[in-house]
Amino acid sequence: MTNLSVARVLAIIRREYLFRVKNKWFLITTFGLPVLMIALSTVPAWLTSRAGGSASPLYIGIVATPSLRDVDVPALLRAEDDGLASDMTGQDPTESTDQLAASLRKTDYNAYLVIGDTVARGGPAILLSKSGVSQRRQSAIQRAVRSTMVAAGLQAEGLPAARVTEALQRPRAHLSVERVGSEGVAHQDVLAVLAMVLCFVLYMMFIVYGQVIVRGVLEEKNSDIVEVLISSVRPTELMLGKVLGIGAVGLTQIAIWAVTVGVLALYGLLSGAAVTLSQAGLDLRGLSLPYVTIGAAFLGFYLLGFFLYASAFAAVGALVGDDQQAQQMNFPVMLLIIVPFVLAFSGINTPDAGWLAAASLFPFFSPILMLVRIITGVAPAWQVVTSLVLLVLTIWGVAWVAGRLYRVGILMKGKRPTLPEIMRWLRYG
Amino acid sequence: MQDAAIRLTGVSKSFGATAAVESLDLTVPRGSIYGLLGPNGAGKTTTIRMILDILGPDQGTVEVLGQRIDDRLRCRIGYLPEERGLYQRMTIIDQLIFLAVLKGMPRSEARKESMSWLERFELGDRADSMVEELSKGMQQKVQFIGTILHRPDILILDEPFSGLDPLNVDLLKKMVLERHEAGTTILFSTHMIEDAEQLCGRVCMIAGARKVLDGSVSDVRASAGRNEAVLRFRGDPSFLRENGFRGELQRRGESYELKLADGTDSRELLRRAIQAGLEVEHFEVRQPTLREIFLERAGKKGLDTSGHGAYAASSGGAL
Repeated sequence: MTNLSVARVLAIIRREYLFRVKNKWFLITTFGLPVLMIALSTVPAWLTSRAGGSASPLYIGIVATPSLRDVDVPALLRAEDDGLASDMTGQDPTESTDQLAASLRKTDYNAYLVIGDTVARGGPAILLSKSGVSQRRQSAIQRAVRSTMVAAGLQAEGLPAARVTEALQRPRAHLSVERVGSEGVAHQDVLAVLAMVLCFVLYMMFIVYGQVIVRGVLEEKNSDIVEVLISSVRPTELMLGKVLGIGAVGLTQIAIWAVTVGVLALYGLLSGAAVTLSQAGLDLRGLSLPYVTIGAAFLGFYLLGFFLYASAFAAVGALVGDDQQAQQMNFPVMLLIIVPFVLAFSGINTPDAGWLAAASLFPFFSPILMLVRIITGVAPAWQVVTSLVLLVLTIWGVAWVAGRLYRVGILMKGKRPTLPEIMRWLRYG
Repeated sequence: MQDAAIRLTGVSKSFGATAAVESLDLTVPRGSIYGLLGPNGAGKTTTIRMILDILGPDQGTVEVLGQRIDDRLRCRIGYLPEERGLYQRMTIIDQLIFLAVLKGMPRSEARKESMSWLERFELGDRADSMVEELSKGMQQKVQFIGTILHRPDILILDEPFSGLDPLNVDLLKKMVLERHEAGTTILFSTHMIEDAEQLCGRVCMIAGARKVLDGSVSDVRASAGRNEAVLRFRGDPSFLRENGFRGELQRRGESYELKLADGTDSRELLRRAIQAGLEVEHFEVRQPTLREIFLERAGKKGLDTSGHGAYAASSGGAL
């Protein structure tokens, strides 16, 4: 049990590592995934820029109640979005939707913007459109309608309509929420997106490489190679080498991705992605992020989390006899990874919620949840330290249990052991 | 004592309520070919696993080369398990180097040794092939090379001939004898007693977790003390009764065949038969085979009954 041989563990790590890194699937996923992600984020921006401007123009006919006739609605629309061209029409907004739709079909307008007199009392303005209208453009139109109502109100108070309209076109205000953390100030939305991306990478790594471990152990068992190995190495060495070797494969993959993203960003090749993000309301320019904290937290929780789940998966692999049994036994461990990921998604907009703080201290959830809370800057130092201590203690316990099960399990043949048998191995193993 | 390669003293091991090995004493002299015999489930594999320190004994001690088995000594053992296996998606040369490095051999030396062994087994041009591309027989050879590559002082072969085609059985027997001549101690387990009789200098027979007998093959056979004389002749068998010989007499065509009961002087029988003017066709004094001795000694715990019982127990119980 004791006296682990470093040389032997290294030999096993080397085999596991080289065997998997040389595999063609490793190359495909490692280099294919970033290309795919960058393509997905760049292509839409590129396509819109090719189409000229941000998007194809929308030609709107404005159907307004007579009290709005002095407000320059087309100017207000253009102020929100250059692609919105419009004219006032003589249509009556009290006409039924069907009548308006029939008249729209006969014109060149892409859409009618109907602002009836109910809008002043909180009723909706209506956009009748022949084509789809993007979410972003809907918001722009909504803001323009609001400006229109404000202009009409001020005009009723005696201010000249032209001046009011002009004043309303001027400010294009955006709200940028900056998070004040211990290391500086950062954009909250950017942090949230970054947290989700990194937490997704963790989640994926834990699940994918967990399965790699289960299958690796199972293969050694079923091909009987384990009988040969066990005369040379301690089962603990075998398990340790496997977990570390496969963990290093995952780390290599992450490093390649990080370098790829870094190099592309350096050469400005990610500007397409930046455009896409800024269209979604995220401005990456002039950004200063606590890179060191984020990098250290990610790396630390990857290593600790990987060791935790991988030990459990190694025990699963040793306990089962075939793939089908593996599917069943896998589920409890998978759940420990899926649940915090789901929690992270539902909590990302309120990262300082109490329930999220509590969940992030639970050792099986902390690798994913504490990472989210650290990146979004809501985790106090004492919570981080507490979660780390609990996590390390849990890893120690899980590795001990997994080691015992693994030791007995890899020499077992045939059927899945019953729970009483597993308990007996734990006591005497 | 220095001359023992492996020594087990009062070793017992049980799994739950099932005793796999009970107070076993066993001494494998250095340089010998030693057979561990017994039916399936008799405790052979458990014994071997204790020698290799894969399992710890409940009681008793296991010594290898005069010391308690430890990691360093494990590296001086080569083990060919009954259930053989290789990584299917790995090249032969990488696989062999991996196995040798685990036994403490430097990587560069392991590569050189692997190549020279592969040449000897006519697999030199397949060094970079994946294991899965090889025939079963070739895989067996690779497995055997992996067992001896690190130049072990002791070879432990668990049922080495099971599942091999006759050609490979001969090749393996040749290699075993060659290692023996090079001074390697060889312990092999088998339920094929005839294999052991052919190769081994010494044997230990176990059945139902207990040792039935052990010693050198010639001693075991001699000490059985019931050499059987067989006489085939033509003529009148009445001289037998006249001289007081009692045995099993059978008619074989024109001839008679007599198997002589134990305790009779066989040379006297031959002399009397010639004196009586009989035509002697065949005369043989035969020591009992190991199988016969084993069946006799093991009694009710013998090959079939106990073998079955012990097998059921060991496959049902947890290992």
